[in-house]
Amino acid sequence: MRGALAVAMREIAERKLLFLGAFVAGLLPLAFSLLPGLREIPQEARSVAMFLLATSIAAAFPLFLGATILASDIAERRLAFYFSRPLSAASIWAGKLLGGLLISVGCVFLAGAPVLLLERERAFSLTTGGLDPRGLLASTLPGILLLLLLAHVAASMARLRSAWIVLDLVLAVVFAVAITLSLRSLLLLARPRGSHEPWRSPAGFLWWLPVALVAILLAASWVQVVDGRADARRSHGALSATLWGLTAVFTAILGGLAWWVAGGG
Amino acid sequence: MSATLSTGSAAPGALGSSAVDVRRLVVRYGENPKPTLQEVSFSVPRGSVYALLGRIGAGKSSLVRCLLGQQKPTAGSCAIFGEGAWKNRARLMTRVGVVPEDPDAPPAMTARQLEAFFSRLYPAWNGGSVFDRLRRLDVPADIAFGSLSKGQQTLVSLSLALASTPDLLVLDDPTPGLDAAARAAFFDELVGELADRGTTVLLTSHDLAGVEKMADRVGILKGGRLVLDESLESLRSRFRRLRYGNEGMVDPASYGQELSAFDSVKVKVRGWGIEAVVSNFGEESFTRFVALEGVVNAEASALSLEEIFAAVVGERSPEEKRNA
Repeated sequence: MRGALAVAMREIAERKLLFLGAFVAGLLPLAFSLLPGLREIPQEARSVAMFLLATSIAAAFPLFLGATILASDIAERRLAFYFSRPLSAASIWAGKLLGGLLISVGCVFLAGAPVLLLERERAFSLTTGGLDPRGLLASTLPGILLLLLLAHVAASMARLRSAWIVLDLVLAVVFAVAITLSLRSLLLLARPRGSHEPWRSPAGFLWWLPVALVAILLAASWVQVVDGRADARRSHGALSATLWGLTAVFTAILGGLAWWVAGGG
Repeated sequence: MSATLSTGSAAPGALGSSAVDVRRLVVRYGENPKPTLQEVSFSVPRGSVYALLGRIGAGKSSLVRCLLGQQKPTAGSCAIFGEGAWKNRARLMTRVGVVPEDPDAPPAMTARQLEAFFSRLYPAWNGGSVFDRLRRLDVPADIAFGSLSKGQQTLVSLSLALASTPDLLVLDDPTPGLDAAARAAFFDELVGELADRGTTVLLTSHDLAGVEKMADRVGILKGGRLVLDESLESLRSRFRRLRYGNEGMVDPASYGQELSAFDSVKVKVRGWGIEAVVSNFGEESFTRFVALEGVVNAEASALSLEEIFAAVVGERSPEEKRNA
């Protein structure tokens, strides 16, 4: 844990200017209320601009950090720097991801902070239909984590340049088709909301899908670092084997469920 | 001609007394039929300085990565202080200082920030020594690592590696790209550290003059195999350059046959006579050689490590000779 925090703090310290940039960018929505045509609705102008900015950062930062914070180190053989230290592989993995997550989340909130401080609850009531800030936080965090992991996995596959990339591309298409077909069957057969069988609720499936995806991506990236270490080829192999192995299990479960539901189970 | 390149003296130290134990190590990349390392075995006794030499691509860096637990060997094992490097890497690294071939610290961090980061990781951290060394070596502590010269980066890496008060120091070819002054400073720091603490050192390098100043023992990798593992003293005593004239020989094709008592690594016919490098020099053999009919003006001179290395890695293997 101490090692993971040390790695995370190092990543944050290296990118501390991002926080400053996000906060400065967060001041821009305050000026929107001064623009001609928006002076009549200053509160809406500020809130909408703030939410657009925060959403952009919530999408762009995890994609950027996910593609660079760990995948670049492996591809450029810089991960050996950490593996030459008394840090467990799990600490390196957790520290890097935690760093990326904290930077992304921190920047989103810093970008929103000036308007939120000025408007307080009104900022939410205007643009989100009264969404609870805690609910917003709860959906931002897993969303950023998912983007971070997706960017890491995609960047690893693209940058590690091993033969596994061919298998990655083929299996990505195969599993995407299989999962889409299974979901389609399940959604078509699904009963209305309120059913006593939650697996037949479309909303239930849509919630479980990203949860399963995050779990699979976390496991794959963990095995990648723990087993691949500073060896780029082995790292890609460990990532792909875990990713597609777990995806196969998930697809099989989903397909089995679709088959069972279609059979009237 | 045959070359005696096998172990000249037994590797000292049982398993428990070795800082490093590499056993039957095999590293193979992808589908390449020829392994990068083939059944490599050697030990580094505690407190010694072991220089692992080889040409570019001989497998030195692969071996170091396996030893540091960064890369899983295809077969065989690497142990540091008796513990498997792959399994116990994180714990072992508290006792190991590393200076990599390409300084790999994050480019944006300064030496001061690196020192602060390392101080959280090592139980026996001597942060003051980092700044003392950097001051002595005239390396700025507040400039981003990526903006320093290659020599300065290496000296920062060495200062950080030594500040963890390591029991084992692993230096993976740290001196290429360093100018003469930086190389001298690097080796002076090392020699000073060895004198002060008796740290075990495993060093891979192409700077053989620097290696020769400090190594106790030398291993040479060639074609993925460890073709030599021997103390430097023993190497120096058995390798000699012989220069002589042979008045009895008429046919140039038979030059060198008078060297049958020696294992000749290299024989060259010069205008003034014959020059040979032998790998099993002995005073008695030489006395008998000098007394041979036709041999005149024979003299034997010692070889530098660089010359010994060139003789060993430059020579073709028996298999290559057969194919030729």
